[in-house]
Amino acid sequence: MKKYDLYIVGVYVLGFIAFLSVLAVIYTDIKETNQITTELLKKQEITNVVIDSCLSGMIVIKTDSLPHNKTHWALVGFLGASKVELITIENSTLNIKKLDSYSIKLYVNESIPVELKDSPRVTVMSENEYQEFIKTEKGKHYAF
Amino acid sequence: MNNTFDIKRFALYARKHYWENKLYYLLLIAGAAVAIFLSTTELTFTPEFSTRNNPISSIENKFIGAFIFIGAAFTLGVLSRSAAGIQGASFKMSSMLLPVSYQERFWFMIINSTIVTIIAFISIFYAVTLYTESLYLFNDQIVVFKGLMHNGMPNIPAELTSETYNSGNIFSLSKLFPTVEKTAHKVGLYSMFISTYLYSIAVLIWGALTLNRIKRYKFAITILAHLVISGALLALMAYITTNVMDGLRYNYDGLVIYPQPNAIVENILYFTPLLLIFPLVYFFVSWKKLKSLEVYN
Repeated sequence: MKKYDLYIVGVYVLGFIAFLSVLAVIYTDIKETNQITTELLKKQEITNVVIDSCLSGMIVIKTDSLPHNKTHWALVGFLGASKVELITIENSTLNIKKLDSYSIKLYVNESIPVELKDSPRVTVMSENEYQEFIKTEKGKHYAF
Repeated sequence: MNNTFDIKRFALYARKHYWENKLYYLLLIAGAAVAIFLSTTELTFTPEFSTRNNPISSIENKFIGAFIFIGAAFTLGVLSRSAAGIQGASFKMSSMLLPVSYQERFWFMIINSTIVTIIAFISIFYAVTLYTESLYLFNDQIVVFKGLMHNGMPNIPAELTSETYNSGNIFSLSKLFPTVEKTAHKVGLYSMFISTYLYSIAVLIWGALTLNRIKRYKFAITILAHLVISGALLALMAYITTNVMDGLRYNYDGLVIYPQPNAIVENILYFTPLLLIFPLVYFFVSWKKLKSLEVYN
């Protein structure tokens, strides 16, 4: 090994430091997002939220405190899009925003009015579809 | 010998290189053409048909796979011969005898294994696939292979013959990249592709110069060493990432929260062109080593 080869070792070391820095930035970002989520949950008295990390996974939101005090489920297929600011709850209304570039399935087991604004790829999942889905390997984690 | 770059000496060196290695390059081109031909046809000489869910996608994948894998092998073939002029025990003697500076050798090796190789391979690929594409007819449900000499149509069931068939234009360079809408994703995709391509070439050039005393299997040793080191690094990075992200999963009164850092990752993708530092530093070190190998400066 000659002295020039140390430049290569140096670049790998710098690359590794850059990787750790990026990870730290992402970590901070998620921490902040978690805080926002916590505040949102406290405010809205939602009893159960599960947001999974796998890219082809599903987000399941189960609420007990929406209009009729009954259990409602929202099931949203996502592709790295579960940033909490995309899903908000205001005046007991579940708002899902900026998700129209993703393939989404929404499941609600009670008759909550669902308005689809500029979201052509959003489809409402039927009771039967939901029951079929939770029988699958991927879906069984989302059954209540 | 002045260690400067002279275009005339460069051209003479290139001419000498191609003339002395003409048989090797002709065999390489012929080998690539045969490999492309065989891998973009159905490997059968008789007409046939098959029904598939998405016929055009399956034929496209065959062409894309051939382009990537045969292209990589072709580049390696060109690179191994281009690097021959800067390695081996005879380097010092040949260096003394040849009226060419290290700069000219270095730039010839880079240009020959990148620009010249890309143009040559794309030309060969399109020339061969111009013919192999014409062997296919397809629509939404069926692929028809007409036989290598266009020697007829297979016996297609009557219920399928009423369909209109398309032909040709199966492959284009744009199909190498999946359709991405967002600018950040485009920046990330192209940066990673270009960086990986240049990195592979830079590492092999560096290996040719660093393992100067080893007579054989320099490329294999270089590739193996980099696979082991980068594999270990990637495993360590994956381990750290998994542990850090698992630490973020938390319970809030029975609620499990684990959001994705989607927006911030998009911003980070704008920095992916910095990955070019890796191949550039390998090129720089190779250049310095080549300079130090010169007998006189």
